[in-house]
Amino acid sequence: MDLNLTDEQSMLRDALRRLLTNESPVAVVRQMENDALGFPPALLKALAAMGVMGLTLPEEHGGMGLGHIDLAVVFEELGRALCPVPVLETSVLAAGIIARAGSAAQQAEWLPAIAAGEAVLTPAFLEPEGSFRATGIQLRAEPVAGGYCLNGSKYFVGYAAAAERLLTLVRSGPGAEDIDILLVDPRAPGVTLTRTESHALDPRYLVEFTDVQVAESARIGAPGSGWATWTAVGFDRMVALSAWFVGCAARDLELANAYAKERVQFDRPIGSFQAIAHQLADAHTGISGARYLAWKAAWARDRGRTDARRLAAQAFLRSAEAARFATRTGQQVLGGIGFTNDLDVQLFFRRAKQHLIAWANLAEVEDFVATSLIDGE
Amino acid sequence: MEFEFLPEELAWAEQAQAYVRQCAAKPGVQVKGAEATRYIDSPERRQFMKDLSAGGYLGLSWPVELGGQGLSSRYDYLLNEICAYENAPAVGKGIGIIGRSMAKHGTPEQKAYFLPKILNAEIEWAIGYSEPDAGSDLASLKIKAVRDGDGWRINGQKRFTTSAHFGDWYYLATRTDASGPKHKGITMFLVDLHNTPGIHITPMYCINGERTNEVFLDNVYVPDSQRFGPEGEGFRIISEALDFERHILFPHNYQQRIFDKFLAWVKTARRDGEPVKHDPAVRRAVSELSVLLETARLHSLSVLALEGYEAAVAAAMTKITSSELFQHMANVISRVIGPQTMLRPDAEGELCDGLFELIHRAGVILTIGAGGNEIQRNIIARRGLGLPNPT
Repeated sequence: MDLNLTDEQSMLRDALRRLLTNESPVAVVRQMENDALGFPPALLKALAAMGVMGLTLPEEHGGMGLGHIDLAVVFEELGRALCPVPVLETSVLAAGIIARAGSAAQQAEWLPAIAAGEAVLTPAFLEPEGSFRATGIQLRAEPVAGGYCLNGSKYFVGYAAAAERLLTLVRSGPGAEDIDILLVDPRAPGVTLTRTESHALDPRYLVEFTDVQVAESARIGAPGSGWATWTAVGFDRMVALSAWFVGCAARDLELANAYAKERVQFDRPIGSFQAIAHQLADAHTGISGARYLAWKAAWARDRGRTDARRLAAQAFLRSAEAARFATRTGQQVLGGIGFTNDLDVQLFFRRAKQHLIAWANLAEVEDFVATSLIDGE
Repeated sequence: MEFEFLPEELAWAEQAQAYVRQCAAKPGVQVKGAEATRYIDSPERRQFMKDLSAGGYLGLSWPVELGGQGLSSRYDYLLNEICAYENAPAVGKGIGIIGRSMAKHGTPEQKAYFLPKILNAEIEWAIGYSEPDAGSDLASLKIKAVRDGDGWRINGQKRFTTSAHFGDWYYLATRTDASGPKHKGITMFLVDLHNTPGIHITPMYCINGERTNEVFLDNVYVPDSQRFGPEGEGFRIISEALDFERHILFPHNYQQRIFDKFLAWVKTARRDGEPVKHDPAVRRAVSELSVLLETARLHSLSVLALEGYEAAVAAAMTKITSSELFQHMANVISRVIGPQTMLRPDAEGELCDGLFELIHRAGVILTIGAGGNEIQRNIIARRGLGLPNPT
């Protein structure tokens, strides 16, 4: 039993923290709110140069071939910095799907480009009804000669305007086994993008598909395998997001803690009042426990343990709650000044909230955990 | 990073669990719903400790030269969790606090007399820290010890000495100097509870069914050979002892056992003609409690994995997490299962030996004892976050 990072993992963390401190300070986070692309291309390149974009991809595709504990280390740093780069969308989800289920040609075309920071790909899964289930995939893919004809819409699609391809979840029949993931060019005829302003002010789009023609070769995996692929990669998303929540919360707590030490009211630093100190202590406890749980989920994933999926879901639930609590505490401790746009805690508060709503239905994640425990994993 | 114990540790734990289970199955060892009673307050439970000793399970991490086995503290941790899960009495204060402190501060005569008896489970200890006016603020304790010839005269009152009525020896914190800073004038003594005139013990009965005691010391004489550690060093010895057993203070396996019994109910019970496991509220409870339980487990493992002040902060986090989970668990389970969980052990129609009722009562003390959760939050704020001394 050893709950410490290896020397290599500590070095990765330190190097990434240095890079993000220099290249992704909060000033950049603020600039990217409402920016057309939503990320600085140079920052994406810098992350790729460090190996972040291809972290868990195999080396033959230009990746680093590292594990999910390393991924958790990276995502905690991305969360601390609120790094405005589509690492989750492109590297964990799109690349994860292609690496898991894509053809040799698709892997050769996209994985090295993703690892090099030369291509942004993003998943398009949610639809306006807001369901995270298989039944929520309504976008229609009619089989036509040589491919599919797409009609329907997706929303909450991150970074769609910058994407080379949207990994679009589509349906060609009534069941979960009628779902496919297609690589769709967002500039293809019949695709329209509309920027939607979100709580986090990150780049989210409504994407509408009208008679969009997609070749059969754009399908990832065997026909009907899309939902299984999407579900599998969904657990990696939960591990990455768990670590992201921990980083986001930890940095927010640092800001609130520093403020509590210097802000004087009633002739003393407010952090000396138990009413303040105990809220911060609880945030600290929540973050610490969530970090261990995120690491354990990553460890279980790397070991191929049977409880890996449940742990990913548990880590996601705990870290989302810990981040919500810590960022709310940050707002409370900073008081009126924290309510202004000028201070940084609000950036963390808004992103923590959006990430725990936009990436999963928490009640369904809870239900998955219950199923694992009641019916076995 | 590795979240699993070593193969040899796991193999050992498997044997230990089988042994503990077998010894705990003897009549009188497990008390119904015994989350209330981890104490060795009966001949049967004393025998259980002797069985542990005979099996080689006491003094696991004590140095070999003191009669221990020189194993890592992980073995203490594993045994403690096993006893918690098997509803067996916990390994006592002698092995943890007192023996370890004695190895460091005891005189050669004290070590020669007490250490073998502790390892053989021949002595039960009562710990005399708290007083009517010294609870969370332990350093303000007042019970007075003054020099008298070759020994000391002790006068005053202790409160919440849980084991006083069945213990053999009293590990007693006294005030020997009231002139300086309050934590500098405390001195420890070892007092024979059976053969010392002037000790009066009166019971206080608690809502969990447990007995604790008030202890009145009336002109009690103790020879200087039973002073423990240097004069005025008592508070340091007490604080230091926390380091010895931080990792076994708050086992999460009580909660694991309760959760497993709840989960067994969820899997099999029916209500209104339907399996309860289909009820979304029940499923949500299973998920929520399992997440908090996994978190508490990892906090407690982190105490084992860390050292120094980081371990102290992790222990405070563990205490808060596991004690508040215990209470939360009681509430959630009651809400889900309903009126049956209000039936006490032995009542007609009770569930799991009344466990789900008892935990409401037993849980109350967990956020209070061994450093109230407010004190733990102060520790996290001060030592973990570097905040000014909280007021």
